Amino acid sequence: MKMQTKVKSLISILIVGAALVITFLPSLPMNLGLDLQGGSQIILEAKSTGSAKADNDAVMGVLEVIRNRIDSLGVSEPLIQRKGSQQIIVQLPGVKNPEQAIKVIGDTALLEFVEAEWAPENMESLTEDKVKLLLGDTGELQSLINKDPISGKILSERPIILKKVVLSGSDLKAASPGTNQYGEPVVNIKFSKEGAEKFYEVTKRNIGKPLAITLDKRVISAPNINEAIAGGEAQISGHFSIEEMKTLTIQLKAGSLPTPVEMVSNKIIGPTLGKDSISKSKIAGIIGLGLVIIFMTAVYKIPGIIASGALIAYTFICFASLKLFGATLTLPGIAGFILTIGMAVDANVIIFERIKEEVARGDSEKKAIQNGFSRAFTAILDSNVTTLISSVVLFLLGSGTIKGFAVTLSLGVIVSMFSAIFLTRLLLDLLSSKQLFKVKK
Amino acid sequence: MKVLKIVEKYKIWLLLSLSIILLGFSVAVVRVFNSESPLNYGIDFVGGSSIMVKLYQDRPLTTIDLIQNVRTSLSKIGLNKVSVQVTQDKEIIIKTTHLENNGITLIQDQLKQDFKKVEVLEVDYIGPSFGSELRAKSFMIIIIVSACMLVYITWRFQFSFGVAALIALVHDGLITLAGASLLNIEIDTAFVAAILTILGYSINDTIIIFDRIRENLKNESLKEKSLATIVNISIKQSLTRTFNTSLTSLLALISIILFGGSTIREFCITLLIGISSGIYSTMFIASPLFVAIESRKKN
Repeated sequence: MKMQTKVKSLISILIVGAALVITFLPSLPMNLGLDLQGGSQIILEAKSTGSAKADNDAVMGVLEVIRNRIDSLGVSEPLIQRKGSQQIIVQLPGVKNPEQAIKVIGDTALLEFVEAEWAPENMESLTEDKVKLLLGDTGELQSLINKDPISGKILSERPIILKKVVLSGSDLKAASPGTNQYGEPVVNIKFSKEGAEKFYEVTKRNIGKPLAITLDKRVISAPNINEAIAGGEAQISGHFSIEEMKTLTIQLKAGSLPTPVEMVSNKIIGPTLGKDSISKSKIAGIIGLGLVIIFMTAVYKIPGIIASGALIAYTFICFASLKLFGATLTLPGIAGFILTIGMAVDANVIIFERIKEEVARGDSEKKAIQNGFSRAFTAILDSNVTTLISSVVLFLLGSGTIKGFAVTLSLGVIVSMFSAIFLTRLLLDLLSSKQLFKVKK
Repeated sequence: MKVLKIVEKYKIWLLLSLSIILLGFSVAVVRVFNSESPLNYGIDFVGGSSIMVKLYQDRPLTTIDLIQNVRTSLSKIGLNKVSVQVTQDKEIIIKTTHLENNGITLIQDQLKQDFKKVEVLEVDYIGPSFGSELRAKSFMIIIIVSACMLVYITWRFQFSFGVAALIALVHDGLITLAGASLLNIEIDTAFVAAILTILGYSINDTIIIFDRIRENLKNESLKEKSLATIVNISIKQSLTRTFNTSLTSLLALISIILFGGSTIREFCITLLIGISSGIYSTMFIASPLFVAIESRKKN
């Protein structure tokens, strides 16, 4: 065996081995699209109204509001994404009664300022009577949750008692990011004329206490009132990061000038349909693979078996890559995957036909294999590039589950170049002393 | 070597394709006269609602009875103009173009009253503005892909190859559309994805033959022969691989169509039509067209 062949064999064994391990690794599950795991996808569009334009800030505000609400629904792994300039995609995997979720999400944002008090740290260990005393008749216990803006991990939680709603979003005129005299990020807020008067009264009454700001009844901030503030302009400071400041500004804006949203699309997939699709596609995939293998073996004999081996390796490499890249598998994606099983051997057919021709012309088999591969290469490359063009455009511009189809199709095209050219070539080289390509004279 | 006279008979091939395309389009025109939509547009493109359910009953019903029962049930809530389809797995798809989103809840409630057990498999609502947005976008995607193909083929080969390949692609697109019209396949985003895949895939075979033509044009021993003959020889030489490459893909598709479940079946049938058309157009449309363009250039 030549050195080069040895190195190539080693590389191939490593790649296929790794693919097998990844494919069967239970700790690395495949991401399943909504159509396979069930759930719902809602597309909302922000609408401009007479008083408010659905501009970038407004849409970001809506996005924040929706995120806030979905958090309160307790959906695991929701996806909330902006699409285009005015649309928002919400994916809720596994939600059983999406109607309720839609109702919650579609409502207009409700921003309120609430008189509040910090609850004692030992709140949870207090007796029921004492808690009742602390809350009073209308009080409600909540927590001010401080989340890491990037990871979403909860950094701190502080219990707070909400007492009485004193101002609403319509009293707020503007909210803008800024810095205080120490250069720390702050949020500047400005109230309307009536709002300013109410705000003055509230701050006068509650010096030293927090003023909770709630969005859809959830506390988003609770600055302490240091003094009575007249004139309707105030500054919310704290140990904000710039990110937190931006988020708060957006939330305040969303609540003060609510942008109505309209649901433009809604898709709900029941949990059984997805499971059913997975088991059916598994069967279809195995049968498809089997048919292609039978065909290749019947037509090309031993080289056909070799190509089939490379095809099986291809299947595992593709599957492992999908897992590794964290690609989301959708039903059209599976169809694309099965389709590429049929396409992956195309290169082999082209190469084998070429080799047959060269052998028929009287070349030695070794030379024929060499020429067959090199001459067929440009044609194979050209034809794969065109498929790639289609799938890349589909990926960039396509929507939803179709994107999944584009992913598997393009991945398939790339991996098939490896399996059909590199792997098959290697296996043929290893066996090339045998008479593989018999030619009918 | 016996040479097939494919190029010379190009009129027959064109006529064959044109009649399929015309047949498809006349079916669409007939639908318009019956005041139906010319093609079976999915709610993706026109807006509307669809719901897929499985109904459980005491005794299994035939497809026709099932549709009738569902229609009767829906007419109670004033829904007379709905499309009711039953898949091979006895799932029922109800589609309507005029429904606000809460209409779906109405349908669900009514079915739950009239049938023993209703399992909701899928619900889909597309607002009308979103539908037209998707439609415009899909159209743009197809144009972009076609332009990319023309550029690529022209760059890799020469312009006459590019034009011939592009016309063959348009042919495949039209045949697929005609097929969709004849089989009443739903035209939606999945259909557009299928069309794009067909564009990307059917050009593969064309490239294989063009590659062979290019090679044979340089071949000294064929210098004496006419262009038409060289193209005929090239088609013959690539015949097996054109068939075998497409056949493997068709095998994979057929297994999805037979075993893959109803949600993905139409998508794969569309692909099947397009890829078959691709095999045909490679040999009978693209290659003769190349000869026609080349000889016109010389005159």
